[in-house]
Amino acid sequence: MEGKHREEMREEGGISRRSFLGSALAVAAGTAALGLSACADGAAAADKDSTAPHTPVGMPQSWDAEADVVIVGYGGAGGIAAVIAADDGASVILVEKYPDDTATEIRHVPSSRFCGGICVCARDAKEGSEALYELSFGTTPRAVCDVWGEGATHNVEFWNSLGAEYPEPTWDVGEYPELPGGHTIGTSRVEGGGPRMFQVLRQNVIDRADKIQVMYETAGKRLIQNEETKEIVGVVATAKDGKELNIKAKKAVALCTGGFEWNEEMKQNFLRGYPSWFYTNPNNTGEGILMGQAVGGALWHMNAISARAIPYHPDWPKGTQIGLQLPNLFVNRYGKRWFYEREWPSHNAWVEFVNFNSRTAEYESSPAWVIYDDTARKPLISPQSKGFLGDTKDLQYWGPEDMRDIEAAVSKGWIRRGNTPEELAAEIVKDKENAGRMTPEALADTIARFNEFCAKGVDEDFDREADSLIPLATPPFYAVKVYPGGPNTQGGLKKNEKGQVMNPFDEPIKRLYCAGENGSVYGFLYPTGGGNVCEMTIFGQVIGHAMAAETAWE
Amino acid sequence: MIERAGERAALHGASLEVQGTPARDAVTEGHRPTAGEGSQESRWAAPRSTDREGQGAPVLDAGTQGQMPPIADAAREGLGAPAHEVVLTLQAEKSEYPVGSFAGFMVLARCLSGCSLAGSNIAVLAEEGALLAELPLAANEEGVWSSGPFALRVPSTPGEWRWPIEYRPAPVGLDTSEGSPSDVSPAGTDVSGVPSDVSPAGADVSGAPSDVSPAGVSHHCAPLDFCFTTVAHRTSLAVWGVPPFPISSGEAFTIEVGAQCAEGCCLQGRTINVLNGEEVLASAVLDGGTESLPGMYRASIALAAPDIPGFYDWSCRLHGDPTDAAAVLGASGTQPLAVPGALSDTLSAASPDAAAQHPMESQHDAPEGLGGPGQDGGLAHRAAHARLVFTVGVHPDSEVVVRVMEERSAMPIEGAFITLMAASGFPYRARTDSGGLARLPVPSGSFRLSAAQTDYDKRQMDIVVNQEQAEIEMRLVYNPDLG
Ligand SMILES: Cc1cc2nc3c(=O)[nH]c(=O)nc-3n(C[C@H](O)[C@H](O)[C@H](O)COP(=O)(O)OP(=O)(O)OC[C@H]3O[C@@H](n4cnc5c(N)ncnc54)[C@H](O)[C@@H]3O)c2cc1C
Repeated sequence: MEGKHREEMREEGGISRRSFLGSALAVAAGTAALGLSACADGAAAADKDSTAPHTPVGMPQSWDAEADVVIVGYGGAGGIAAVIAADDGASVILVEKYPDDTATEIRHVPSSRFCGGICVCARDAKEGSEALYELSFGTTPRAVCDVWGEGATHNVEFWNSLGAEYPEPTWDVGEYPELPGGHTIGTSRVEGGGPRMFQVLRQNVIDRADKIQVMYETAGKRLIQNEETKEIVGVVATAKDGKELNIKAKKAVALCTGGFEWNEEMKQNFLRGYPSWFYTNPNNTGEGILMGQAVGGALWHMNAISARAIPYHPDWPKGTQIGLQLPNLFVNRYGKRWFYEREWPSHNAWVEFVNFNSRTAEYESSPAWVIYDDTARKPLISPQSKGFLGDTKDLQYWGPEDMRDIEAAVSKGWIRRGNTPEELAAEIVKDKENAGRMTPEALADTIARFNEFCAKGVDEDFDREADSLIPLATPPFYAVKVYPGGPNTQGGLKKNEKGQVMNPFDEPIKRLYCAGENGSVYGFLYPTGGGNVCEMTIFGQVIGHAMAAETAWE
Repeated sequence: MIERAGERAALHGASLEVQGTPARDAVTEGHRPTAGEGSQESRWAAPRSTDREGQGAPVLDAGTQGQMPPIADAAREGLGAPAHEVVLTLQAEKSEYPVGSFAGFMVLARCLSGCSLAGSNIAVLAEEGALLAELPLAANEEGVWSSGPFALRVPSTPGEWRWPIEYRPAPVGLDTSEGSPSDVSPAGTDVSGVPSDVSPAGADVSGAPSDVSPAGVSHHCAPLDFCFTTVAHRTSLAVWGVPPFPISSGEAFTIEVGAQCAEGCCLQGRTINVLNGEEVLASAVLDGGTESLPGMYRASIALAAPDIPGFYDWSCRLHGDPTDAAAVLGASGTQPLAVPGALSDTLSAASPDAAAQHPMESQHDAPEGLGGPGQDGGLAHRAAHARLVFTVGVHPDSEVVVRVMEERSAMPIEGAFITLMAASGFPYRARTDSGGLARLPVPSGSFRLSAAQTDYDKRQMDIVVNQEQAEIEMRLVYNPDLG
């Protein structure tokens, strides 16, 4: 199947229907040729023996590997960029921290591989552009939005050209239909989700083995910059044996290393609240962002995440997704409702959890507590929860088994239980992060008031719809501590419409690109589940074409 | 309540077990009650404001000094003084205890001149002077001597209490070099009444004992008061089984009420009232409980819905006990019992949060409670209230039958929430059975029908209901939240 698609693409001269992005790329190639700016280090270079071959400042004496294009991070963004660049005729090295799969284990687990595989699409390119501009509160320039809007009309087509079977999107499912352009958002999900999506992509990479070399268990550390021309000419990476490798990129380097969900310092400095926990792959430690910063890359969208409320426990640090049944209720640390909790499954409700009380100097609603009763007990964990449990073949579920076993979870304190609302509160205050804030009376009052609204069919406090006002009454009562978090961070290196990494003066850094979670286009609100696959799909293609179109510096 | 003689010996064992607990850290942690463990410890998210409220600081530093002064400074102060000064610090879990429960605490002592306090004891007295417990001091960290964690049963009547804590120097001639507490006789072996066996070291229990140490140095120590209150046990109620839709005027319905004592006491036989304001509408007696809800005692109460449609806000009440001492059944005064054992784990735990974790559970087996198996022990209980809210509507003359299935496969969806909302009026609700079917008796009229289930897109439609029963099919799109 994949082979056939490959054939088709070859026949079409490697351009195929993806040429919609072609116009954006010609300019990128032109920019690269202009890398001639005068160099402050020129004097140093002149000191050297004029008969020896000249090695510009910043460049290594020797190289361990080379290709036209070097891509750090082989997730969805990196993989797509590699396939596109290869089809455009470039040789590619993918540098990936994870090891390769074995016959029995899946070990290469970028988030792209265990995500839901949902992809946002746009019915109309112009409206799509408008929607992104609004969602990012104007932080994403129009030109970038235009590329996104255009690309989002071709996502299904693109994936199916690789051999995936994305169906026609379901339209008008954005989380903010009321914003300009909001109705144009649709989503499509491949049967088999992220595992299937990535399987298709991997196969496409394997099929191009003549052009694409994957260096597994190799971590990108630094960029190599020709300090005279300021071009990015390669990557220093650490191989499995600890050896540092100089990998030459004759045309360009891309940083597709995902977000910084596992870099506590960055989270603490950049995210709107702290802590937040994520269930992405633990390799996403923000290294690609730091590598770009070190050569002058500007940052953007650092405080944006796509997230919801997720449980977290230190002895189970990967976080998990929960699918809650009705009835449920969210209360803050003091046992009070504070937002329209029916929206909690959205990717934007996390903002509600980071409201800071300046008097008490704390996040009153983080961690918060999901309260439910015995009628919602069994399906606490949605059977659809997916994720990465570790080195395993099972990409289906990554919450700890104990979370499904109520008794075990209660005995570990992951789930709190009480026969009455007051007794539940008495259990909650034992949690060291609650430390006595919630009183039995407060929680009992909140639940009783909520039950009053359920009986009346009107939520007088937060306007939750009548059909989600299901009373919480049947003992025992349960509570799970939740934090803002979940899928991923959005911030990273600022890019332009060609996917070039920008410096703080809004000038592109020569021969440096990024795509995917590392500096995604989402500046504040997330369109809906599927937005990140959309980003990596579009900008993976954009930079794949753009890098291949660069003129080799050597 | 004082039937636990014989555990006294174990008390010493317990106190010895916690030698090495860094006293200073423990005191400091009392001010940072929310610090986590391991790598989480530094997370700033740890709440910082609780101590201000006085809530949630599980370790109460009730000492005369916040922290033990360093020996060097203290020695300077002591120069030329006739006697060395011993400073006591008390660490207690909290300052309020349910009547008859166990207060866990630990006393630390330090000679400001750095003397060994081996062989010395700590005595806990009742306000009127009776000896409640006497505990040997053991070296804890350099210069700090500790009683180890121990627990005493607080009085079984609500009130405010002051228990003086005294330092009792080692008897003259006792070899302090080993610091072994084993030959110090435990105090108060007669636990059935006022302790009669006052340790030889503590002859002067009324004032500040001043004695001469074996090395010829006399030690002076100001006594310390452990002040705390005892309160009636908290009880609470759950009310369930209330129809989640308007009950027909005048129709009978039954609710379930469960009552629980926070301390695990048996509440069997106590009465639950259903009230409309202050008017008692119905009463029932709590049964012996069920295994599925340990600690909860239950009653089913039959009620009749009022005739007039509307929203009703009634309540259920469990009566409290009178809390003045005399009125409390079987009140046994303040005779305490030193109880060792499990509480030492809580107090000696590195994190004070852990101390707050299970202070009571460790002392008795739920659900028997402080009153012992099957009884409330005559301990005072506070009243409990819970709201009983419901709606009353006109008698239904129609029935809506909804069948919910998955859009593509047409497989029935079980447990879907069906809501029927009229333009004005209260919602009717039901859940689908295993066949995806729900039946809702409703009065004729116009409604918005909604079917919702986790992982499916909810569906709504407007319907007009008349006497002809028709089945409404609702197909939900499976759209799980995967990202
Ligand atoms: C459980 C889950 C479900 C999700 N579901 C959806 C969904 O349905 N739809 C959607 O749009 N989004 C979803 N997301 C988000 C989405 O999956 C990601 O945002 C997206 O896949 C990111 O792609 P990426 O290529 O940028 O990063 P990743 O796919 O995370 O790839 C980054 C790669 O870079 C590697 N790397 C990192 N640092 C280095 C280094 N220094 N050197 C070498 N390699 C490095 C990592 O090992 C990793 O392989 C989900 C996320 C999760 C966690």
